[in-house]
Amino acid sequence: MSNTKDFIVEQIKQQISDFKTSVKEETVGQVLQVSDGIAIISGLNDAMMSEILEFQTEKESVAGVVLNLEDNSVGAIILGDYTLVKEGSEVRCTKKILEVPVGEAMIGRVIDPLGQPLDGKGKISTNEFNPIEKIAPGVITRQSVFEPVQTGIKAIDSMVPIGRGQRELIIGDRQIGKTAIAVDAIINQKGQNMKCIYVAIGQKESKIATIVAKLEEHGAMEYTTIVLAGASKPASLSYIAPYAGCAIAEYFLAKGEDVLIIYDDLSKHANSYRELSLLLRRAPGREAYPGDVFYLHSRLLERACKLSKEFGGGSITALPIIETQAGDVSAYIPTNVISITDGQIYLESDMFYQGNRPAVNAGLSVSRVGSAAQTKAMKKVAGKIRLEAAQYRELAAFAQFGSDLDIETKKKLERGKRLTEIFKQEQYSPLEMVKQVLIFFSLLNGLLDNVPVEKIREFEAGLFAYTDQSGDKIMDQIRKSGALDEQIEKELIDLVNDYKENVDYLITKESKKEEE
Amino acid sequence: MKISAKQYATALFELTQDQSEAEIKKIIARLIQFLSEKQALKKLPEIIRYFEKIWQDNGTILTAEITSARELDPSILQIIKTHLQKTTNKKEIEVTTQINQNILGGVIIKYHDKILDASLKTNLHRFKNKLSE
Repeated sequence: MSNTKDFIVEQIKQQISDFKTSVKEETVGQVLQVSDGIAIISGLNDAMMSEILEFQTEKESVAGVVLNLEDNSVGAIILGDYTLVKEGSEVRCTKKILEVPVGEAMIGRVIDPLGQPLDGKGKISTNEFNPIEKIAPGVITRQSVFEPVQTGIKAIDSMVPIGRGQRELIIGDRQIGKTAIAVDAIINQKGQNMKCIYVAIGQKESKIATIVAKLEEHGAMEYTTIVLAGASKPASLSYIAPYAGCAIAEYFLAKGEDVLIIYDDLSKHANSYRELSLLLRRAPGREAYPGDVFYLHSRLLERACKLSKEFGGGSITALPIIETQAGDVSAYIPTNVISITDGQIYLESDMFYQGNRPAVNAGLSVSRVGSAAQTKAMKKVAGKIRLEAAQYRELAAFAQFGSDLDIETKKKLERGKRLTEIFKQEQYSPLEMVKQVLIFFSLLNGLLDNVPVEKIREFEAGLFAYTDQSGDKIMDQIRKSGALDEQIEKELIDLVNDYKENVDYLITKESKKEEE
Repeated sequence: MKISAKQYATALFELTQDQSEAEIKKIIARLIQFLSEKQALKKLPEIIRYFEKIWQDNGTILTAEITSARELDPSILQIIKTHLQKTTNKKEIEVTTQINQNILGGVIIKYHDKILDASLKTNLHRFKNKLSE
């Protein structure tokens, strides 16, 4: 026992004798002006772009970042409590570019954009850092998208599939389930070998608390990091939040892992950048955004990538979210981000209020690269599903005017109605790929034609329960091979027909006659 | 083309380098005339300000501010001066001294926008941080 005590004492002595004082020349400047989280500083002749500065204040030192290098002054944003910084405060250079701590310890935590914990679970111990700004991987290191990201949402996985390394925009008005899609996608990544990062920019802290609780409930925090720049935090933190999230993602990318990152949302990010730019007296352009607002998002989203095998084979899949005003996708930021991403999921408020949730508009939503990543089985049914949905939309608009429709049209309309029913999905209930294939397959083969429209969801739930019991073998087969051959198709049809024996609400010829 | 106050000041500095007093008088007279021709006389205060700064940056004299806890021994002051001469390549070092007991010991040297913090307080602080790591 005394042995260990001596050892400890020895260690301390060692530490003390090893300590060497060193005098380093430091560059200091003085705050000329400070306002709304922006400081203009004189001196600092050798300050670098996006270098971390240290503001000495009475209480504590506050961090800042160089954003403007001018002839006689340096413009900086203050990350933290800018009310402490006074005119004349001393500012020191740190000779460090803005960086965040990264590592496995970040998983399951809620952090601020500087990597400090916000969840009260104690210090995050990691000694690796990644720079917040980094040039995206180049052409040589990349590979085209070929593996799917399963969101577990029927309408998305079938019609707007997302691949690992893709950037898919989620766009729509406020309060119509944009975040819900993102959260469902995170929940569905369980066991899919995917790390998730949710970046909340200018969000209500209560909303984040709800999301964290939901993710914990579904066991999704085990592979998720939340980067939060709350609505009450200065704009400077909102501005760096997505880059910080991406820097954390790049740590896993470098290890060859797959990452799903959600930026919620980039409209608020653009707003905070506009605020900073205007305060730094940069010239305003369209909608008062500065000239480089396109670059702001393009450099962020370009960092999403799929690396080729020689470079580790990792991927970052980005799901940026944009909030539109009254469905206006032709505003400045939405058009910018639409043009940067590889497709968009367009959510429509009309559909949402009609009860079609998730309110994915099949016509305006596209995925430019994702179909290459779909599994064979899904690809086989999805092509027809898209067509079916498009035809239904056209006919539904047309059919409003007349009641005399030929049988073929009526049939299409009936099937379309059932398809819309299938697309409806509760929140927090992502569905695995094989079950999605099963239900779409049933629809396309006319197996649902005699199920009443209002009973479709009940039927679907029952069918899945039935498959869990007695269709496991065939489901496993699809899971393994990822394809549908004739043999499997036959078995699927038998499976659905077997289940239909058990239900009593099917439309039979007799019941049809009765109705007439 | 418009000439900025900074450019005037730089030109003035370059022209007056290593000139006799009489020569400098002439140069200044010509500058004033030039300014009035260009209707830029109102820039004069700004030019003077820049000139002072350029003089400081490029001149042979360096003014440094030394803070210590106790009155410094002249020999120590001399050591600091020679050190500054070496690091900054200035011939003359002008020193203003200050006493601040809060720094406990050692010195803090400030010149231009540089700071050399060799105070006991800062070092103790560093020591504390190292031990708590």
